[in-house]
Amino acid sequence: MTDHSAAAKARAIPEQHLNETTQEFCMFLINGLTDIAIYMLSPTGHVQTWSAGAQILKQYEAAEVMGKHFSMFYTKPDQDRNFPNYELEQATRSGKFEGAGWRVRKDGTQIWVDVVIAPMRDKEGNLKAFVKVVRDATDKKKAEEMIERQRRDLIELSTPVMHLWRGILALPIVGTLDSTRSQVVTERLLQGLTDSDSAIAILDISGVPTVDTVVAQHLMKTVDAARLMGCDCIISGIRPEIAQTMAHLGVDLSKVKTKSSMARALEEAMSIMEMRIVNDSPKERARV
Amino acid sequence: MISQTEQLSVLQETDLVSIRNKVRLHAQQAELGLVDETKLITAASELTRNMLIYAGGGGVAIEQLDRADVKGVRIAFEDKGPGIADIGLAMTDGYSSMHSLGLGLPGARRLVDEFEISSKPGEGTRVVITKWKR
Amino acid sequence: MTTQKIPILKLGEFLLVTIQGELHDTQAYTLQDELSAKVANTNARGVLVDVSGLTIVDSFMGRMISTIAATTRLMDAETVVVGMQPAVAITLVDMGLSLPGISTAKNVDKGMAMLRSKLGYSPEDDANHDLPD
Repeated sequence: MTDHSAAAKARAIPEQHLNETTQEFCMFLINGLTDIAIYMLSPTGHVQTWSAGAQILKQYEAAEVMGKHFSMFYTKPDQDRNFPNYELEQATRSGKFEGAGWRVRKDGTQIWVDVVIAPMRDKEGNLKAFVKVVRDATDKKKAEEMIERQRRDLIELSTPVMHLWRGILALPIVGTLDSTRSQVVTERLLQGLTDSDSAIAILDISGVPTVDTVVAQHLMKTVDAARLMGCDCIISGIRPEIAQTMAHLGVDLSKVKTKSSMARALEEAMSIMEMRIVNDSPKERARV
Repeated sequence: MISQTEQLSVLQETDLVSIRNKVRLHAQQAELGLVDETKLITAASELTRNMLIYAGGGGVAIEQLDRADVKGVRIAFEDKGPGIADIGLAMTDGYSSMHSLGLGLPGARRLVDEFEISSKPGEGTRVVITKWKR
Repeated sequence: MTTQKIPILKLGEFLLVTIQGELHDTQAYTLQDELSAKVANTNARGVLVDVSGLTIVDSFMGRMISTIAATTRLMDAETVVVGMQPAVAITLVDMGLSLPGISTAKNVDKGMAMLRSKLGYSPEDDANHDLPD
């Protein structure tokens, strides 16, 4: 049979039969999808159909939910802020609602779901019902949360605050400095100054590959904030390429103490504290 | 808790302190962290003061946002004051129609993640700020 | 309205102002007036403004600190702001209010040492000006 004749035969089925067949097919499909809940809501949000997937996902039998308002699947705070109706309004207004959130199952446990709600209209455009498709995405959500936690940990770990000497802190920054990480660096540096009762911080950026205007401005802000706290902040390890970029960007570092290396910065810090590193070996003394 | 909204009115200078305290509570509930909490309270303080100076007071609505993926605090400041004719100008650093350094609006904007302002001369001004948990 | 006055302590040639908790605007205005009067009356050479107890400094309070510094300078006294909290410092800088030209110190002791060195006291003089805690 050619495609053409198949189409012709399909067309030959009376409309009534077609509707029934389609409906049967749909029900078969809907009930076959056990990890997705597909059900219909009345225009007022009351449950009208229930599928096998819905039963598995929400743990309710059809008899327990038919005719009930669908807000029963939502968390108390979502119910309080009238979020279920908001979803229906959005779907009605824009033809579709897509979202994600926590839902409560029959046993009280919560699952994270992806939700799509679409309005069904008759030929005249009147709202007949809503179709709601819900998928369990709890595992995906948990994986995302884990990645996010690891990302945060990494930022924290990659920005150690070292107590170099009495009253002197050092923050060697290795890796790319973006806006988020710059904020973390600033906060850790300032908090470190308070916690360790230090008055001088050395911010070493020799491990930072590039510095753009945003990061440069952030460094300046850090220096400014440290000054407001009554502390000095020395920036060390500005590599030639970065110095050039900064000069090019017109970053004014004239008010900031900069040193080529961490060692030089430490010397500077010592001199601010009116201390000096002296070679005290007998050999050195004999030479003097 | 999702979307707990608290309505407060600002009528006199002493209300500033209570607004700051309320914002602190909400910021702590949303777990913003000390620095972001401080920024949000400071921004709220600036905007509340603005309402007192320019409109003689107004209303403050503090809302906790708890979308499952992110928490935050949203604060709306609404007054029935003279309004702002040129918002662009009012958002410029150093601009002030009265005796102040004009840091209120642009300063507050720099402290929050989202900043919306709408105003009609003669009708009033509405500013909405949002700070999300990082 | 019950507004507490902010105490101004005299420490030798210096004045110590400790601002704690929430600062009302009225308190701030009163403080500015009283402080300049006290600088004049006592011939103070320096003012230490301890803000370690402040969790919020908005632009109004930031301006107040600037005004105090400018006023005392005109009266031949130096102002040092001490003990600013990290979160407050970040917030002020973010707002664009980094209080340029104002001297700062980590704590009251360091602020005191800074005032002394600004006024040209040698460490020997220090002993004479030391006051009990």
